[in-house]
Amino acid sequence: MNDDIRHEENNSPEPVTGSLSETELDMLINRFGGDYNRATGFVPREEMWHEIQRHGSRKPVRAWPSISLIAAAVVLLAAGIGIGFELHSRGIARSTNATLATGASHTSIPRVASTTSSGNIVGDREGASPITHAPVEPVTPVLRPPASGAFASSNVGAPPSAAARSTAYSLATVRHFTAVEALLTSYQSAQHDAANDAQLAAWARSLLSQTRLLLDSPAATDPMRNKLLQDLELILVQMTQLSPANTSIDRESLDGSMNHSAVITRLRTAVPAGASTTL
Amino acid sequence: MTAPVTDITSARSERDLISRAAARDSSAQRDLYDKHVDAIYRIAFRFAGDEDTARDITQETFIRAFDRLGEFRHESSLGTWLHSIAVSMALGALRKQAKSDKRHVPLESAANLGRVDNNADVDLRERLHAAIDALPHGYRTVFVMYEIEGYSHQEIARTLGVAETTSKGQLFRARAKLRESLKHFRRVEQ
Repeated sequence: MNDDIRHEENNSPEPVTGSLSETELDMLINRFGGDYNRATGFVPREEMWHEIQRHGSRKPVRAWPSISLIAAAVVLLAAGIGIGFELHSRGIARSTNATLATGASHTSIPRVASTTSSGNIVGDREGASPITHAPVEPVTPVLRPPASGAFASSNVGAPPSAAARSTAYSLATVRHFTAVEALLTSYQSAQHDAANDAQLAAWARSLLSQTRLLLDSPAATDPMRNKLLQDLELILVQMTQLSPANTSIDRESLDGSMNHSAVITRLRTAVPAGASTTL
Repeated sequence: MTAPVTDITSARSERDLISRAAARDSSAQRDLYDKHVDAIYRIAFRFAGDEDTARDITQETFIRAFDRLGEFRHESSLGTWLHSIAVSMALGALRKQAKSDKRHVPLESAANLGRVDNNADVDLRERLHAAIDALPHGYRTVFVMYEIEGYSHQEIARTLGVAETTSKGQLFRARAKLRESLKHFRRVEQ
């Protein structure tokens, strides 16, 4: 049993002096070793099984979505922030242009409203004497609600021009297409289980509402874009109906719609190259 | 006429049970659990030395095993696979406990136990057990697996993920320490 040990011991340069011999130690182990931490007769089977089951019942629901879903969600969030920022930027530029245009047409009327460094409108400057010579037409004072925030001045001015609106809708549509493409790609690559399907359905639900908003907006005036949005609406509706109880049928139907309308290819065509990263 | 439960259980192949358990079939998991729990609890108790820790180790072993059953490649028996998980869990638990382990006494203290002039079996047993407890974790693990549980060096190496020579070396050093710490016992016995 201990041949290996004895062999190593014989090669040992300094044998343990005054200690037990190997035989004596073996004797001790044979007599008492088996009692070392010997389990008592009772094994708490049921208690342990109950704990194992309790853990098992928690386990199937994954606390974290898959990496692809997280990545897609990040893309969606970034797209939303980008759209908001872009629209705000354009709004500021538009209002600035409008202000300049207004200023040009009313050169005799000084602009008496100003903004603080934080963008709050402070109204007429105290002590400033209004210049009153020969206005071409009376200026109707505009009651402005107190505004705050960096973009408060963006509310100033006329409604956006048709071109600006068209650009904004185009941007929003491209962003939306990018988000839908991310969803559909995730759907194709994700493992199909109940947890993933539930997340995909929730994601599709949020995109579905955006799709319908875009369908009702001037973004849908372009026939090709309109058709694509309609197809997306159908696919997203199908995706929102993914359910663990009926997943295979749902998925077959969804896959059929996606293949039939070649929607991913059309989405990729509709989104300009690099738009997802630069917009 | 119904067949006895044991016959039904034995009729199911282990492979079939494993695949069903991997698919979270509760009854298959329970069958596997019933088949192996005693051995796993026993080895967990060997390392832990107390019921609570042994129970935790056993539970964690089965929880982990059921989670990873899909990765089991049938390269060894399920029992061996479960044992290796149990030993791994036990070592992890013991490492966490190391600082607060009241049973873990310094080697010098274990040696002092041998100086007590009492040759009653109970005392001898306690001295040996205290000396084993005083071994460093690595030595103790190999010692318990080889000398008490009857593992071969090959099995220990596979279970612990070390070379066989490492297992042999650890055992050699463990025995040398035990012989040294129990040297006074020799005088008592003589």
